[in-house]
Amino acid sequence: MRKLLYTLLFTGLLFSLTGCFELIEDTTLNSDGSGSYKLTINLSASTTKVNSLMAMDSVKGEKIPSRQELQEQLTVYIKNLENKEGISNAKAELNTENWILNLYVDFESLESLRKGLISLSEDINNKPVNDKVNEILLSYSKNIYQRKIGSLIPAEWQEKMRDYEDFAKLSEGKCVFIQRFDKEIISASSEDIRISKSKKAAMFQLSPLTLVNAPEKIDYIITTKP
Amino acid sequence: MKKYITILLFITSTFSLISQVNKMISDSAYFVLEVDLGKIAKSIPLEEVNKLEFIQSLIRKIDGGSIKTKDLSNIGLDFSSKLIMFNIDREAYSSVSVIVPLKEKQKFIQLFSPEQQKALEKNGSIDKDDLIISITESTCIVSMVKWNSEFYREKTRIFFEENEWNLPDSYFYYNQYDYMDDIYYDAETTEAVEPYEYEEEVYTEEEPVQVESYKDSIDNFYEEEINSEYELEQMELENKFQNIMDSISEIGKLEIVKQHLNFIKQPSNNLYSTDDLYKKVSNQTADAKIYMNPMMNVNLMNGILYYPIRNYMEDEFKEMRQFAYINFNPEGIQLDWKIQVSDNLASVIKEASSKKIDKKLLKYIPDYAQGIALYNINGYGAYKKFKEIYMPKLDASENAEMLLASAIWSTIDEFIDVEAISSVYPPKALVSYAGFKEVELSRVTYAYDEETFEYSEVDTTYLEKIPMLTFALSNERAFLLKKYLKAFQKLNPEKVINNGNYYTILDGPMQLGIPYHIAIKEDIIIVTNDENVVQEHLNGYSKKAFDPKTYKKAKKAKLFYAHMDFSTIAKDVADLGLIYDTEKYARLFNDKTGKVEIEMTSIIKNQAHYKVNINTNENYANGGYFLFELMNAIYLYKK
Repeated sequence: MRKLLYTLLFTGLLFSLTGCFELIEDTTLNSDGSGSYKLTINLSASTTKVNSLMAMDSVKGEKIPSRQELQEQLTVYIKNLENKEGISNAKAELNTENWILNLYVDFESLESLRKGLISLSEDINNKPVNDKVNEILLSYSKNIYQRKIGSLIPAEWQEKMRDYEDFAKLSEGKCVFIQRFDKEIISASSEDIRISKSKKAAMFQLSPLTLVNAPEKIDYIITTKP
Repeated sequence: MKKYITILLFITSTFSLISQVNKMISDSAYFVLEVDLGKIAKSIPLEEVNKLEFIQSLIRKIDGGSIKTKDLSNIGLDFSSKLIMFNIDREAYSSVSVIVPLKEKQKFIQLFSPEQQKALEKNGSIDKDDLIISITESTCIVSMVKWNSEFYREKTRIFFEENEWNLPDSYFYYNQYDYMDDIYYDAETTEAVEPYEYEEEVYTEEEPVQVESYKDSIDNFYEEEINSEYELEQMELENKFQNIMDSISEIGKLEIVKQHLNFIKQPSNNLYSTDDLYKKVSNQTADAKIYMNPMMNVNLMNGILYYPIRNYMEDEFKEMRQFAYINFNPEGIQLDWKIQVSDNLASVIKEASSKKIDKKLLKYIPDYAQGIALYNINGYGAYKKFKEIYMPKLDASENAEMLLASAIWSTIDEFIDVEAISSVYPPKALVSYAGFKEVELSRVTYAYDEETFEYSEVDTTYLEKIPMLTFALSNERAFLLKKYLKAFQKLNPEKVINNGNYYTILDGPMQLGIPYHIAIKEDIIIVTNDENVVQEHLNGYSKKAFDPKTYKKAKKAKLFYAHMDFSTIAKDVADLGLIYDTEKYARLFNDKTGKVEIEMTSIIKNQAHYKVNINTNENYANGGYFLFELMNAIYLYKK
């Protein structure tokens, strides 16, 4: 997966695929702070492009892994994630017919989840994350859910993304962030956050283009009933 | 009289300069590219070449960015001579060398840094980081060497075996060994040239190779506790192996570099003097020439010439050469490509190309096609000729395996109807490319429940532009495929769909996720991802795609013919979706278009002649301009 991601990044392909990219981050939180986390990355609308890439031996000197190698590498990552403190029941499924990745973990606290995901990122990139990433905040305490990720994204990254000629194509993709609680939601810090009819789930949806232009939008607070 | 002497001197000096350049090609070269700088400069004047960004970048690279000059004609090059590139591929290394002809050595040498200039003046060469630069009076030879670590690894293994030493277990797990190598040995250690000292054993083959004590360094490196004697022993063996391999590699590399430099000083065994065909090719006039001798590519030939037929194959391949003359003209670029094989193989190829194309195939070129390729082989004729030549050779052999091979071949030949098989395979085929078309493909999205925001997968479709390819295969037994398709449809009705006149296979080739369609019309099999071909044109098209000349040539095709109109190539490549900067791409490549025609024109004696005509975009004065502008566009796009 790492090699594929590297190859995609090196060649600018990930950028050209993101137009059809769908990401869903779904977090379920219990009153004690524990919960489950599900991440879905759907590239099915780019199937032929990804398949074309997979049919190559290498791109710009980077070897393209086989489907089996990707599955094996994913198994290793998930096994490592499973061993992290406060993480259990880690599962991942990579559908190489439609190119959909589903990741699922249970966590004891949002802090365990944060550490687990950072460690997964280090595994994938094979190097420690930078200090900014370590500043990511995910917490649920005293009925307040809070996240701080977007505002930590460096400005250079935004500039780099804007440099791409196909920058506007990012509006075609979709990023969805869902938080579920076992109590009713009282308020959300942004008007863009939708509350479900049951009042126990919040959804924030934006395009990758908005995410690049205003990453701070994915930093928000949700308050639930005590 | 004086005048005549002057002319003679001029001619002699010119020829001696040309042969000086040619003499610098090692006789181990398997690929040579010659560029006649004088002719090229006539196609595209130097002032124009100087304006190109990639040329300026090249000059900056040569002179280390000090920008002493921006003019190619002012760096001491000899534009009346040839620039030559050649490749060598041996077991221990592969290299790419460029021979630059010099008119004013002193001027050229000033492009280098003061230290390099000093070294070049003193030793005539610089050898650093696998780059060897040598200067003679009239040439500069730049060689980039890539060493084959596998070769030295194998040499080390043999050395261990000869000394009856144990190999580290990790030797058998190459990746693991490689991993150890990466983290354990830093650059400084591997750069050391001095042979290692080893107290007990002496490397007797070339020079002493000895191993130093390394236990301390292991202890320092591994922070974690070493658990067992086995682990410690393995680490010692790995270190010993690596140290000896380093020594063997260094000694071997130094020897090769020495040979290379000696050759430049005294280039007696050069390709020009040892290979008559190369000499003949080199003496022909053309803007550029290519010469290939695959027998000299050791690694390639080792793959092809495997036991037990090695001796026979070697005999057949030793005459094999490829050479091409490339010329720029106002229409574009013309290549005359010749493939020389042994007389025996030539007669087999002649038979293979003896049958005429099935004209019915040409009906299946869509009216909107941009390119076609025809493959027309007389399989049975080629087989008969092959048998006529090689069966007696096997029968005359004293080798038991060859005699057995003849017996088995004769048995198969008696019991199997080869004529029937060769009517099916290899097929006479036509491939056509009809640009990009939007096709509806399936994808997954998600539907959200408003009550809970729970979501579920929903199948939907999206439109994707994909290249349209149609294969038409002429096959006397096409009905057999019909039977198989019928069976496959019953076996897997979800993936194979019967549409009446044609079948659709949902899982396309190479797992690309693009469906394709198969139809059988009499003895023609049509395989396409363009549904319109099988839906609306089962009886063929009206031949409007190309001019009548192209159809005429296709009809007369021997073995192979291809015609491609690249007028929309830039747009088509951008449509593939693999270009992220489409605007820049379009700006640079929109006029880098043309029409390409490749045909096998004849087989004369043991040479097959191919002609490649590239009619380049009329915006460019000639093929030379086009090629330089294309190279510049590639440079600018990557920049």
